[in-house]
Amino acid sequence: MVNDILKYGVAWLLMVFFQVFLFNYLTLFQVAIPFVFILHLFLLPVGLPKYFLYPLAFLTGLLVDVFSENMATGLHAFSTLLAVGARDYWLNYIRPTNLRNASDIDLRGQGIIWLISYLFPLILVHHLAYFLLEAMSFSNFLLTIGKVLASSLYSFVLMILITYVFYKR
Amino acid sequence: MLRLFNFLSANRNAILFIALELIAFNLIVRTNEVQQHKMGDALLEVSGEVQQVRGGIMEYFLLEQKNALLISADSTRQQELDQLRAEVIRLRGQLEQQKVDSAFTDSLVIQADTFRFIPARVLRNSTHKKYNYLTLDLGTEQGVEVGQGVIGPGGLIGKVIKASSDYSLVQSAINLDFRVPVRVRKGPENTRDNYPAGGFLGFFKWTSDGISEAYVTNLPENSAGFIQNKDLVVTAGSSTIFPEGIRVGELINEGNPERRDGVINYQIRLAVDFSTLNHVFVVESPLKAQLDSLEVDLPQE
Repeated sequence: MVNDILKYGVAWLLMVFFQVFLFNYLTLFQVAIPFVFILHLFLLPVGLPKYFLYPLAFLTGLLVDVFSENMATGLHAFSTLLAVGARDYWLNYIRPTNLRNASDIDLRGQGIIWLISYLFPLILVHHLAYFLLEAMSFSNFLLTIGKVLASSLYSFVLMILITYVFYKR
Repeated sequence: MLRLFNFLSANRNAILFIALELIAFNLIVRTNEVQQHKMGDALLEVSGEVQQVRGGIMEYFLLEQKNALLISADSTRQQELDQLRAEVIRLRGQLEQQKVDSAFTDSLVIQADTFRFIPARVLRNSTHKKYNYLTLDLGTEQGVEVGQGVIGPGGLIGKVIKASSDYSLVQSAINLDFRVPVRVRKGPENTRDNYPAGGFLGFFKWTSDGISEAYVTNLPENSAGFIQNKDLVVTAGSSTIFPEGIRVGELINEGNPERRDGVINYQIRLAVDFSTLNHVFVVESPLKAQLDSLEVDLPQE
């Protein structure tokens, strides 16, 4: 138990740290920005109480907001919380087949197909909310959507790499 | 009442979710675009510390590029120095001939030697917004005060608008709120005759068209007959914020003139590349306090 808390805590710290100091600067062609820190929230145990999960998502987003040079503080707080809220519903639909003691998502055990269908919609939700709020309008809608898709794909590829390299058992 | 309580209790997660989202949305609306302007002192201090660490790491990777830049800057300086030497020799000759009466030297213009320049490092620099700011690693402890000008190796950069004990926030010249009086002076390639010696007085204004383009506004109509491409735009020196003659940019596209109510606006290219700022100078004027105290009792509009 203590071991788990420590493990997730350290992973959380590292995720926020790398988002702020590394991934924020890995932009591709001024269009795609990878937001990788949300991966950690998606990988948290399924059984976590919501009164813990929601404030955690909010604060994580806020922390990244404060240390990013984005248009407004709160963009990540909003979209991260939204994505974590969506995760609850999404998990009801595509429950992983081999839940280990119903509290862990064993991503590697699920296979690449499940991983894509689990992560990608959630990433889309986060990125869509983020870029729409950043634009604060539906003008230039196609450009915004382009940013969303490019960034989502980029984040997704990085997330898959990270899960396979660092989330080993 | 009990029903209400039951309802709230049954939906407490949804309520928590919605409440947090509302807080976040409220934050976004309130901080949009102007967040750094209103950022609290404590937050400026914290994010200043973080940016300093990041800046240190980034600087290491940029060393090579910086080196090349320094070498090229050095050779330009050398050329300028040679030109200046020649100029000094020529002027000395003139001086000998004319026997200028020293009683008539102009003491009204604030000279550059009454200013001090404090070197500072840029910790954070935004360029892609409508309101851009820089964070410097100097604060009130090092003598930085709100209202002081900031210049860089290429020319004008901005104005200090907030200072904590160790960090300061600078309103960049590429910020919609930034204004400074400037002069358009005859450039090296200008072929027009009778160009007024003082140049033309106007205002610098950035319009978010890109990080290298801006405008000089409110110039007199008759200036259209004199200006040409590559005419210099320099600070007017009518304030204590900047010394006179700090380079701001040069005219491009034949000024791309835009007439309005008897005045003309010209398009200029900025002298400073705002995307690669690293080391800048804060302009400290020992005379500022004196001058400000003179004007303090004037009736305000």
